[in-house]
Amino acid sequence: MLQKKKQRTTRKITDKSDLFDGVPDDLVVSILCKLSSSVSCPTDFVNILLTCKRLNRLGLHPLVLSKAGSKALAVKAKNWSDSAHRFLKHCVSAGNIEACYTLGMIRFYCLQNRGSGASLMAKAAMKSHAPALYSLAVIQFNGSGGSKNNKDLRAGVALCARAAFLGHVDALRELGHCLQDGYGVRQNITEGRRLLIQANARELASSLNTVVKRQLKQQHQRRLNYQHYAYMTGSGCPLLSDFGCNVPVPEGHPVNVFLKEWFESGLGELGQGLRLCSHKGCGRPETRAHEFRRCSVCGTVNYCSRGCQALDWKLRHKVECGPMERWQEEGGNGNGGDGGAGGMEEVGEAEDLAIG
Amino acid sequence: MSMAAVETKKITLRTADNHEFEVEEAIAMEFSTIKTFFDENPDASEDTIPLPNVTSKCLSAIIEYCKSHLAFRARETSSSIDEQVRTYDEEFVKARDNESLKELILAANYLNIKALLDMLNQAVADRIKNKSVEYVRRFFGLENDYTPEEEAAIRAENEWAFEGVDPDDD
Repeated sequence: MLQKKKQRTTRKITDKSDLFDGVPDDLVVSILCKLSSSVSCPTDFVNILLTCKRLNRLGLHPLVLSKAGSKALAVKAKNWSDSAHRFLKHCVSAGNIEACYTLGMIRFYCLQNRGSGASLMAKAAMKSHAPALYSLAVIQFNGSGGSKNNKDLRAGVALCARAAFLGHVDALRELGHCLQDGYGVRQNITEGRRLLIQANARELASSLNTVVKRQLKQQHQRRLNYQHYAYMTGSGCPLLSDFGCNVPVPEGHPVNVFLKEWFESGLGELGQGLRLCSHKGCGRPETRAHEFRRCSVCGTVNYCSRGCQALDWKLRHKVECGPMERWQEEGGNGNGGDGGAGGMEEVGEAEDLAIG
Repeated sequence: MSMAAVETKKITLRTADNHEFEVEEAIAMEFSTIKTFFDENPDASEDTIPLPNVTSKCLSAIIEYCKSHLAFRARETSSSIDEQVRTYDEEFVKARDNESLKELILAANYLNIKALLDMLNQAVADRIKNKSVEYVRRFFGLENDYTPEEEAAIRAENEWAFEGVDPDDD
């Protein structure tokens, strides 16, 4: 009954057939689809394209490209080139939503192509891509790419609401702040506070989820007391650290890393006097002078959104902020600026009150 | 599915190497190919089904898999069950070499068992990611059919995906 078919050592030398020989194209495509959706960096996927002509052809099949995950498309800013651009375009034509969002962000902010960037992001947003909805909301709130008269607060709130409905943590936070301040929507402080708590809860849940998956292999306990976990990841999630919860900060989207590297390394030129959002995880640049809101206490940092402002406050700005000169927010409404820093204080209390 | 009465119906399957396997109907119904066949020919259940594309080794492994998964599904769904399913799947593929994985994939495709096929595809994908080009070629015995110029062109086209310019880095 046992048939010795395998002689792997001799197979390499004499036998020309390879593992994928007898496997029909559609099965190979299925395997490559699984590959593209689960790789953790572009290298792992592109390596397959370099092996032989058949895998190259099948690896570039639209179905495979359409399933590529955000990590497979995570181009590094220093590697940006026409061929990288082409690859993303292929993925976009294959119908890959992540590619639409990634290329949209890159075109909008880095390549200064506002129209094309926004329309790509809109394409992703229409397929309910939460980060795309949130990014478009930020653009609407700031009137990015246009003048300050192009700000559309209500559109921003609507987009934020859709992203928040999908569970996007930053959008939940942003919407919470908008409700608290009556920014673009009728003021509703309780509802705003509720959303802020919900954002924190979601962030905690997703952090715990990754922790649990990691820990499950090592430990078999049912109940997790998260306050006893210490992580080597440094400061941990800023907004929850107040409550003694040290959970790792959830991973941002790779395209934010791209934006940050693009501008910080000087690959992309920031226009005269334009600044980056001071929240390190964001990477968005201003598209016109004084577009972003400044901290009204010290005036040295500025943020694209309330969400970034709140996060950065807890992460690092709280310790370094101090009244130096009083700056009013320029080019926008004064409420935003004062509401910002005042809002930051308020946020802290609100969250303390609510949880405690 | 509703099982009548005391005796579970058994279905006989004959593999390519002329081994006969008797399986319970529930398990045979996991194979969509067989299920469709029976839906169209309800009175053919007494006959032996020939499976010319499946070896006995494959079929016994597949039957094991389907049996275990049916048992898992019969229990209450919970995260601990999911964990057990995951562990079972990992063990199922871990010991198998590439050749037998390939046969299993072809068999699962022929018998149209979606869950098993998905799992096997993911397992192969897991084996080929995180590896260099040379390693993938060696691992699967792939022949590089590019000319040096073509290879250089393809490499240049995809340079953006690699860490740094120096290929010795990875």
